Amino acid sequence: MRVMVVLSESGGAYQEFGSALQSKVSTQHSLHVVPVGDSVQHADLVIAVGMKAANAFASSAVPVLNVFVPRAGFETLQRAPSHVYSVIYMDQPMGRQLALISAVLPEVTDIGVLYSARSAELESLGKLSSARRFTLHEQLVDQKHPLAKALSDLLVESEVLFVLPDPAVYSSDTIRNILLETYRKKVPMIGLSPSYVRAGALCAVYSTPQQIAQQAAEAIGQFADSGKLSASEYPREFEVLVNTQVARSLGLVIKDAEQLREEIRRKQ
Amino acid sequence: MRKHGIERQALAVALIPILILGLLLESYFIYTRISDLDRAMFDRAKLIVRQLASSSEYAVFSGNRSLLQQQVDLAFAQPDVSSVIVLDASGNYLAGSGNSRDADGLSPIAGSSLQTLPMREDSRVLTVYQPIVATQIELDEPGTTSPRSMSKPLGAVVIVISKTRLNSEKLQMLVLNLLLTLLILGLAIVVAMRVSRRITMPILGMRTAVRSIGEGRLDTRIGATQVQELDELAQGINEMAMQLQQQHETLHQRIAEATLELREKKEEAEKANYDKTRFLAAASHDLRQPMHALGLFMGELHNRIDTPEQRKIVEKVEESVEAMSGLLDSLLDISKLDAGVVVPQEQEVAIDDLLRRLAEDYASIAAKKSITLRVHAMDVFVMSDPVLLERILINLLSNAIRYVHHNGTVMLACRKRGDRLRIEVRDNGPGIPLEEQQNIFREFVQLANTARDRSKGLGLGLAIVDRLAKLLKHPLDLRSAPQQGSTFAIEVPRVPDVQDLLAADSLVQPAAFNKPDEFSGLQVLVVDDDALVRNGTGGLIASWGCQVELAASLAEVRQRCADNCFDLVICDYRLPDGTGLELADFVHTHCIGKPAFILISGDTSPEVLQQVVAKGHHLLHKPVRPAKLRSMMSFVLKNSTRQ
Repeated sequence: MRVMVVLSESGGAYQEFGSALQSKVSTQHSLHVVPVGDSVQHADLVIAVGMKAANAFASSAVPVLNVFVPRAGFETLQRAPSHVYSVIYMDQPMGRQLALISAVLPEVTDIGVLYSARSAELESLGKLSSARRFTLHEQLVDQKHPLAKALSDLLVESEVLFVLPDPAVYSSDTIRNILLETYRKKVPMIGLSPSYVRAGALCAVYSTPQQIAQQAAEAIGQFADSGKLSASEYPREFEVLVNTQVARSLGLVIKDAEQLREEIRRKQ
Repeated sequence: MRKHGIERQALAVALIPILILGLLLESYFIYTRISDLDRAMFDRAKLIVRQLASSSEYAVFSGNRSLLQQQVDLAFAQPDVSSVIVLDASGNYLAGSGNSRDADGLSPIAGSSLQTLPMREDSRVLTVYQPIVATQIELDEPGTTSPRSMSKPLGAVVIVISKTRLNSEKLQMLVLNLLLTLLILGLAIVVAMRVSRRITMPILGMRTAVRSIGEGRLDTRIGATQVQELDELAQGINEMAMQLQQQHETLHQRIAEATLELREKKEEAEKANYDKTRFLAAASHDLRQPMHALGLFMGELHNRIDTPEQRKIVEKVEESVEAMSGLLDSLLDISKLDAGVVVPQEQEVAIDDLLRRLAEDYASIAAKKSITLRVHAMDVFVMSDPVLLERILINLLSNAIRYVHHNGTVMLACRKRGDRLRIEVRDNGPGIPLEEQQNIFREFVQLANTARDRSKGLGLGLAIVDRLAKLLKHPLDLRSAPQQGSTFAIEVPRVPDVQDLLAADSLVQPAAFNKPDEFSGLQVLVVDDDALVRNGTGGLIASWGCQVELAASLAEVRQRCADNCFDLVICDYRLPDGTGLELADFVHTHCIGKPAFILISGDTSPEVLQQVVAKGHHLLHKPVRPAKLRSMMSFVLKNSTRQ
């Protein structure tokens, strides 16, 4: 079987994923890694890596497995009705996120989120949190509610700030001042990725390119066997990253990342 | 171009480079210092504004005004900060310190740039604008395609820095630099003057010394200097001066020696001249005196002799005396002429009288040799010394008579030549060879007298003629050839208005020797201290029929003859108690009707002659021959009667 791996960008996590995939896919399949925009030869399956590639193959006749795409972003793409596709989302499932919060901060009940527009994640988070006895505080950020004001108000009632993927709220410009504000209010932030943790978030769950590649390789194997793509899903395997320095600054005692991961697996 | 002294030039050479260098360095230093200060101020302003922008980021983000004000106050506490203003993204005032008016007009600029920039700068203040930009933190979230570096500034910080301190610092630095420059310049001047004086002072000293040497102070020396070359120069000048001094001294010594030598020579010459003069004086006085007396006695004797035999003897003696007198005259004449003591007394001379008198005087001598003596006189006056001119003609005439053969002819003639009269003495004698014509005018040269026959004279005649002609400036001319006779000629200036004198001249007839009654009854006073001469003169004059009084001295005349009146006084110039001139004065004052006066002197000095002439008297030199005395007597008597 002929598989084309189309990278949105060469280098970084995408490249790492491409390399990992090549080592994990059975040698009976020919695998070609190309950057997006290159002429695509005939292939039985396309692995679209990232939003750009996903966008480029949104109406492809060839079945497409999308990886490294956020669920909210992917759902906005225009697709042809006949388009055959499957997705391994980049986002972690909300259940796993809530499991992380209860594992890291067992006493916390009030979770604050900022959003610029309502989304599926926010909906599922609302359902899940009430099911698990969490109180979710939602705060809209728009012209009437500037970020500083919204954040300041939100942090009064929240014990933890949970980050939803929303570029209008969380960006390179705003992240420092949001973090500064949370520190001042002694409210920890739960990030989306290792970069949030490095910037000053308390912790985050994430999947490595290798873990995604493993899942993708399995999907390729299944497609080769059955000729059908499996349903879209969240990453199965994950890692936990904790910023111990932030934890110390906030006066929190936190279990190590491996323990936390096991606990999350159990609670999920 | 103006000329400057060495001191000023040396100073200029030393100072101008220092001045240029100093000014260049100073201006460079001041320029860099001022730009450093400006840059430092701007840097500091940037630092403050950036620090504030960075530190106020969170406060601006969170709208925490109290926190912002604290940070603003911190920035404002920095020195020189005049005011600090923080604006939000839309340019609204958030916080500030200091002069709030500085915020006016800033809002339009706010938000336009992310760069630090100086907004306004004048001499008073510097305004710096710095936007507050959120710190970027990379969120390499795949799928979160956040636009990077498109971030809007959160707000802006404007800081106004007062330049008061900077300006005062600049001024202080300028003043300090100026003072420093002046100090360095002053020091340079002092050092340059000190150093240049070490060169210029010796040079000026040398100038003074050289000038002093030039003015003749050769003992001037230059002291040692501190410069080697100048020392050498000074040494050179000193050596030059020393050599000059030595040469000067040598020259002086030589001049002194030469002067001494010259003085000695001059003294010798003067002594010789003096000796000669003394000899002349002695000779004239001592020889003439007896000769004079002898002549006079002979005159008297001649008158008293009766017998023809005695007369013959007396005549022989007279001839001898005459010859001796003539020889002495010639010798003394030539001496006098050589000594230059004869001064011609030019006056009008009647040439007619002179020539006739000469012819008469020599008629007898010519007759003896059977020589025909002819005279072609002209009625003409000439300007000459009568005595000296007569002397020339006498010599020429006697020479001609002496050398002409028996039965020869001698002619005394004259002819007009322009304003001159040419007087010729011609003979048809043996003639003079051309080669001898110059020699004959030398002393003691006699042609055809190798035996030195005394009767043929001494050979002084033509020598005297030559000297006299030169003295009188009468050109002398000789035309002669062997066997063709000789013609001696002399040219004398003629007096042009001769016609007016003709009438008077007819009265003046030369005293004739053969007119014994001419002086009869004449009152004559003879004064001479020499008894021989006195008696001789007296006897001679008495024999001519005169009434003679004798006196020996001035005192005797005053005593004895004061009341008497005389027609003529014959007086010796030198008297024991005065001179003949004093006597003349005395006689003239005491006698009525002014007697004629003849002075006789043995003294040939020109002073005496001058004095006598000045008084208007006539002088005869001893020895005086009777004929001469007689003709002089008749001359002065005629003059006095004419007056």
